[in-house]
Amino acid sequence: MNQQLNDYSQAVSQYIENLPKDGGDWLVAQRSSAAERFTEIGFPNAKIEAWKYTGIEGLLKQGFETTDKLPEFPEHAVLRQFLEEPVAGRLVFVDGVYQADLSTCDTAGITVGNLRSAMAASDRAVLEVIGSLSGMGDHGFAALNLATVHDGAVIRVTSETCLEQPIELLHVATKSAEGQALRSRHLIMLETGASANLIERYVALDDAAYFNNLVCEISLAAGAKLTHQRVQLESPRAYHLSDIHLGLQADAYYHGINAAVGAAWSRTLIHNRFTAQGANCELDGLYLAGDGQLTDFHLDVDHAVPHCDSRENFRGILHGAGKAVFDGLIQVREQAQKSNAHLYNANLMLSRHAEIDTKPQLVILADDVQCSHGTTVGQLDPQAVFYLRSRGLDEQRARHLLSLGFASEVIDRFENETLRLQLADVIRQQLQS
Amino acid sequence: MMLSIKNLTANVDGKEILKGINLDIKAGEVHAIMGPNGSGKSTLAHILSGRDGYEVTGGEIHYKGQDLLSLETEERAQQGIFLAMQYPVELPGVNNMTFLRESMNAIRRSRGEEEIDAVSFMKLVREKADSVKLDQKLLKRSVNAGFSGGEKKRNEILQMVMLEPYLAILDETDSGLDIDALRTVSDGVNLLRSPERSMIVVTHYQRLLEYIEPDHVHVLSDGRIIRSGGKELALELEARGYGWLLEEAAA
Amino acid sequence: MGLPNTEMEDFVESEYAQGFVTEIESDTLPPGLDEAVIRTISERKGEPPWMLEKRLTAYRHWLTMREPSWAEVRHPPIDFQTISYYSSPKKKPLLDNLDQVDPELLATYEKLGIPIDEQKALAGVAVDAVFDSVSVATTFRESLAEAGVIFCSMSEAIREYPELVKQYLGSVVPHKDNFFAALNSAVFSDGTFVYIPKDVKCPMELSTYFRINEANTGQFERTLIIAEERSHVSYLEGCTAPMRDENQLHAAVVELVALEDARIKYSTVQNWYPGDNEGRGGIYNFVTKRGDCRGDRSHISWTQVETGSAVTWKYPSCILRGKDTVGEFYSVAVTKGMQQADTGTKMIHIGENSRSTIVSKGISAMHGSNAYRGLVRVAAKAENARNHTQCDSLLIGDRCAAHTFPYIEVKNPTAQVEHEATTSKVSEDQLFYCRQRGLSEEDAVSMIINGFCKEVFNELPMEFAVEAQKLLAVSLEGAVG
Repeated sequence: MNQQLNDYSQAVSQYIENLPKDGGDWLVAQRSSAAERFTEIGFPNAKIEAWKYTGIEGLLKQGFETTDKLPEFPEHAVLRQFLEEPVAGRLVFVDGVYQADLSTCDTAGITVGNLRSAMAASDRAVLEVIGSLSGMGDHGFAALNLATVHDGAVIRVTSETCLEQPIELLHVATKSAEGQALRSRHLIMLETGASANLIERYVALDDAAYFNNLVCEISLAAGAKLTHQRVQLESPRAYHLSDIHLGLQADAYYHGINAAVGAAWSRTLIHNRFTAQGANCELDGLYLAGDGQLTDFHLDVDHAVPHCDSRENFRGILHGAGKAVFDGLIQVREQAQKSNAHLYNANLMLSRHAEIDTKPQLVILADDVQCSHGTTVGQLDPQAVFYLRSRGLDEQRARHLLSLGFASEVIDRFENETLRLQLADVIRQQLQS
Repeated sequence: MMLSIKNLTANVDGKEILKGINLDIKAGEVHAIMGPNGSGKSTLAHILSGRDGYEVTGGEIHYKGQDLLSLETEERAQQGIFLAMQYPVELPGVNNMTFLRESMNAIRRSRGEEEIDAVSFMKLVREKADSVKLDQKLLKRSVNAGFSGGEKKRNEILQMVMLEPYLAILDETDSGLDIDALRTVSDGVNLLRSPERSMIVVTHYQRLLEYIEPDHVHVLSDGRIIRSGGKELALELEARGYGWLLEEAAA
Repeated sequence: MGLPNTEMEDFVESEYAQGFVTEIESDTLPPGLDEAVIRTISERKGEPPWMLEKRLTAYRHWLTMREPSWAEVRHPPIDFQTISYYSSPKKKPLLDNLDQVDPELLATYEKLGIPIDEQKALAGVAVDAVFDSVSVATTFRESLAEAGVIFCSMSEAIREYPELVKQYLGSVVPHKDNFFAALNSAVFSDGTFVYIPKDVKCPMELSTYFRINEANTGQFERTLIIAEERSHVSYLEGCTAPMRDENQLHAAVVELVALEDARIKYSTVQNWYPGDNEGRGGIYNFVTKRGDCRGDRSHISWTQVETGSAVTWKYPSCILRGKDTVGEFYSVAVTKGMQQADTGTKMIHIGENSRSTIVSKGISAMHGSNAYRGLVRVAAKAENARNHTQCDSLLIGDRCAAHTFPYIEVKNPTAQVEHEATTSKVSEDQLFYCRQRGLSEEDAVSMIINGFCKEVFNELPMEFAVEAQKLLAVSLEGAVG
C-alpha cells in the first residue's frame, strides 16, 4: 500500500510539474496543497468509519491512470444521448474532455463554460471559488481530484434569473476511456433569487473500465432555488466517485434527485452545511445494485444555524450479488434551534446473495428540534405478488412490477419525463438480466 | 360576575390579533362566540387559559373578582377554568385514567380538599365515561394517543365533567364531529349547566348551538366583538352568513 | 404514572441520596497491576491453578490491547496502575444468619433500602449482596437449592462447580473480546453465578446489589448465568455507590447462556454516583454484557434503566444462534450534569426465524450527552430474521446532546429490519395541556417523561419499575424548567 501511495504521489507531482506554465493560473497553488493533503491522508481504508463498508481494493487494483488523452468517438452516438426536450444550455464532456462544439448556451441570464478555459483565462471569479465548499478533500480521492483536475463545468445563473428550461450537463464515456482516471470538477453558482433546473447525467457508449472521480461544488445565494436531477448510468465496468458539496445561503432551496444505477462500483457523497437561516435542502435518491455492483450513498446534512429544514428519502433495490451501503448523517449543532431534519432509507432485498449495510445517524446538540430517521430492510409483500399472479402475471413479472413500484416513489420525483421513462426502463432491464 | 374582560388587546408573533375585547359573563350564563376564521376566537380562548406565546398588550381580565392575567396556567385550572381544546394533545405513555386522577387531585389539593381515593375515582370515571359514551377501553390507553377525532373530543368532555370547572371554554369542540358525537358532547355540556357555572362556546357554525342553547351570542371579527345578541343572532348568521355583518361593521 | 408529590419533595435537593461512606475496615491491595497482583488475587480467593492460568492469559492479552476510543464519550485517560484491584471486608462474617453480619454493613444496606431483610425475603427476593468484592450474605439459598438452582458468588462457584465454570466462563465473552473484557477476565474480583437446571422455573426473582465502597478501588464484577433446557430465570441487578471525588472505574462482564427453550430476563437499575454538576467524580462504567441464545427457541431479554455513572459504555447484546430465538433490549438512559452515556445493543441474527426487539429511550438534560449505538446483523443463513428498533431521544435544555448511531447489516433476503428514531423535546403543547388540567409544570414534565419511558418500565419486574420511576424523578430533579 505504501509503495502504491508513493507511486501515486510521484505521479501527481509529475502531473502538476508538467502543466503548461505560460497558460495563466492553472490552480498550481491549490493543486500543490491538495497533493500534500493526499500524501498526508492517503487512500481511505476500512478503519475509517465512513469507508467501513466500502472497499477500494478493486479500484486501486485497476491501476487507472491520469492522462490527457483526447477521446475519439462517433459524434452521432453522443448526439443520441441528448435530452429530447429543449434546454436552456448544454455542456457536454466526453471522457472528461469538454466538447465546445456540442455544447450550447444562448439563454440570457446564464453563463456556462468549462473549467479549463477559466483556468487558462485566469478567471479569478471562478478559480477563487474552487475548493471553497469542498476544502482540499476529506479523503485521498477528493484530494487527488483537486491536485490533478482536468476540466469540468462552470455554470452561473445571474441574479433573479428564472430559467424555464433545464440546463443539461452530460458526461459520456467511450471506449477510449479504458484504463483512465477521469477527473472533473464542477462549479455551479446561482446568484440571489435565481432559479434553475440542472440535469446531470453520466452515460457510457461502451463497457469500458474507467474511473470517474468527480467533485461538484454548488453554491446557492440568498433565495436561490435549484432542482438538481442527477443520473449515474456509467458503464458496468466503471468506477464512479462523486463528492457533491452544497452551500446554501439564507432562504435558498436545493432539491437533489439522484439515481445511481450503473457502474461496478459507485459512491456518492452529498454534503450540505447550512450556514444561513431559512434554507431548505431536500434529497431524494434511488440506487440499484446487482451482480458485481457496489453502490454507496453518503449523506451529510449539517444544521449549523437555526431555522433550516432538511428531508432525505433514499430507496435501494438489491438483486443478484449486489451490495449497497447507505450512510445518512444528520447533525444539529448547538444554537441550531428550530431545525427540522428527517431522513428515511428503505431497502428492498430481492436475492440471496445481496447485501445491504445501512447506517442512519443523528447527532443532535440543540433541543428545540424535530429530527427523525428511519430505515428498513425488507422484501416484496408476498400478498401483493400473489395478487398480481392471480391477475395473470407470472411471478417474475409480478416481482419486477412491484419492485418498480417501490422505486417509483423516487423516480416520480424526477421532473423530466424522459428521465423517468429511461430510469424505469433501465431498472426493468437490470432486474431481468 | 364570573368573568369580566375590559378592552383586551393582544399580539401573536408581533401581530395584533385582539383589538379591544369587552365581555362580561355572569355566573350561570352560556355565551357563544362566533365569527369567521382568523377573527381571534381561539386566541381569546387560549389567553383565558394562560397559554404562552400570546402577548397581552392592554386591557384586563377579572375572573371571580381576581386579576386573571397574573395567574399561571395551572393556577387558573385549579381555580376552575377549563379549556376543551380544538386539537387535544396526545401524551404517549401517559395513562388516561392516571392523568385524570392526577389532574383531579392537583385541583382538589389546591382547594384544600382531600384527594379522591382510588375506588371512588374508578367508580366516578366509569360512570362519567358512560355518560359521554366514551369507550371504557380508552380509559386504559395513553391520553388521546391514537384516538379518533370524535374520541378525543369525548375525552375532553369527560375531563370537563370530572373536573367540574366554574368556567368552561369550549374551543371549536364541534369541529370534525358527526351528528351523534355532537349530540353526546352537547349532552355532556348541558349536564354541567348550573347557576354557579359559566361557559364560553367558541364555534364557527350555528349547528352546535342547536344543542347547547346560549344565553348570549357574540360575533368576533378582526379582533373585535362587532355584534352581540341573543340566541336568535346565531340563527340569523346561519341564514345570512357573516358577510352582511362584516359589511355593516366596515360601514 | 407521576409520583405522589410528597415523594417528589423528599427527593428535592437530596443531592445524591446514596452518597455516604460506610466506616468498615477493608483489606485492600496497593494500587497497581502486574502478574504478581493477579497471582495474589487468585491466591487470596483460594482459586485452583486453571483459574489463575485463565487470568494470566487474559492479562497477557490485555497488555497487547489499546483502550477503545470510538465511543461518544470523553474522559481523562485512566491510569490503570493507580487502581487497586482487590478489596475485601476484613472480618469475614459467617453466613448462618443475618445476625452474624457486621451490623455496620447491615445498617448501610438499610439506608440504601436494599431488601436484605426478612420483609423483602418474604416478598420472594433472594439476595446475594456484594459489598465491594466479596459476597458477605446470601439468603434463601436453601429454598433455591431445593429447586436445584445454584445461586452463589463466582468465587464459590469456581471452588464448588469448577466443571460448569470451566465450560461456560468466557464462552460468551472471550477474554479477547475487548479491552475492558480482557481486563475483567484478568482481575475480576467476584460476582454472581447462577445455574438453572433443566425444566426448572426459578421460584423467585434473583437479585444482586452492587456497591462500590473503597476509594480508588476498581470493581470488576463477573456474572455468569446458565439456563439449561426449558428453564426460566429472572435476574435483577441494582446499583448504588457512595459519593467520592475521584473517578472510579467499573468494568464488569456479564455472560448469559440460554439453552433450548430457556428464558433469561436480566434487569438492571443503575444509579451509581454520576459526579457533580461540574463533572467532578463519578463512576466510569465500562460494561460488557452479552447473552447467547444457544439453544433453539431460547429467549434473552435485557432491560436497563441507566441513571447513574459519569461515563457509561455498555451494549448488552444477544447472539441469536438457535432457531426461533428471541432477543430483546429495553433501555432508558438518563444523562444530566456532565454525564455521558454511549449505550445500545447488538443483535446478531444467526439462527432461522430469530427475532429481536430494541426499544431505547434516551433523555439528556443540562450538559448530558446520550448516544444510542446499536448493531443489527443478519447473517446469510438467518432465514426470516426480524428486527424492530425504536430509538427515541428527549432533550431537556439547549446544552445537551443526543446521538443515534444504528448499524444495520443484512445478508439475507428474507430478513425484515426496521429502525426508527426520533429526537425532540417535551412539546409545549403537551406541557400546556397538562397545566391546563391543573398540574404543576414539574409534575407535568415528570408525567410526560415517565410516559416517554413507559414501554421500557413495563418490562421491569413490578418493584423495580417503581424504583426506576423514583430514580428518574430524582435524576431529573433540578434539570427541568
